Amino acid sequence: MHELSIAQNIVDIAIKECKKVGGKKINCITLKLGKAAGVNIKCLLFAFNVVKEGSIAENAVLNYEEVDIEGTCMKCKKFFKLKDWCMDYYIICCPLCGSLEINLCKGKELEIYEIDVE
Amino acid sequence: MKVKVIKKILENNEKIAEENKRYFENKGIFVINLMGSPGAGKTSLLMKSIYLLKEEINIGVIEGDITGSEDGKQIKTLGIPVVQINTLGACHLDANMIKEVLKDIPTEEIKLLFIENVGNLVCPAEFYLGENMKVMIFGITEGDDKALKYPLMFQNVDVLLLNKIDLFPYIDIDINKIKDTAQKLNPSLKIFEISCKTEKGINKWIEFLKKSLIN
Repeated sequence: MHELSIAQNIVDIAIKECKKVGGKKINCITLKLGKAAGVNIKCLLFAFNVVKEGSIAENAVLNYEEVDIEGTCMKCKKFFKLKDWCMDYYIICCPLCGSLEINLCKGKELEIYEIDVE
Repeated sequence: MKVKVIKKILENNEKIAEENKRYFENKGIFVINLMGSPGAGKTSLLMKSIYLLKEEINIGVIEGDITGSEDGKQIKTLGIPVVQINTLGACHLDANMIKEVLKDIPTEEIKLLFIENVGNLVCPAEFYLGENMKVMIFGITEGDDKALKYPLMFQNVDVLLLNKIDLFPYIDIDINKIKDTAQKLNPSLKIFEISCKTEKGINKWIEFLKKSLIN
């Protein structure tokens, strides 16, 4: 349920950025969403549609680009990419040795990348 | 018109949490964010820890609940200042909720502040409040598969307290499985086995806490 807080933050940031450039209306918000960010996109879209109501983002569409997971295994010391990883597995382990001791350098992104305003 | 933004969505929370942290640092207050499922023993742990520490150190508590003030009332019986936050539906505390009650905390009087988060094994792990230490309490009755089912909480905390070990003879649970999985998910995790009811193991936790306060 923290998707509601995230959606609220997305709308707040987008409105602030829109006003900064003198925009009156937000058409589209694009996110960068790491596959390991722990965000359920369906919940996020649902929450977004609730919190945008009555704001200048009311008609905005929420798009997202997924970011693949990349990291280094602390055990076998190898760098890895998880292209096919999906939230169904949830636990991220080294694809080479199976260790759970990993350092992620990509995949935790939870960012607004771009907004389209007029 | 397209505008590049590139902003972390939870940046605002992080920013306020950093402000909270500086505020507490300036007052010399050590802050613990206590998390765990409903019924894991968060309030029982606070009651025991406060009881054992209150002669040595001045303690305050922020109670986070969706609604009501049952836990707060219990803790007040120990003569400790308690500030209640009701999230009114939200499943976790965030940094701004803490910021808003800073004025209600007798910060000149206390040196240790416990923040009891909303009972939940999922969302509180994502929201930094400005604490020095994240502590998770886990009732062993919750099952030995939970670290694999709720990994984020286990990954993000500094300390794991395995509570209710007095019930060990009555339940089918592999405590080593919990410990092994938790340690694999989080190699630097400090684990204590405790019972808030019988006080078994509590002293080790209290000693650890005292040491953390000095450092």
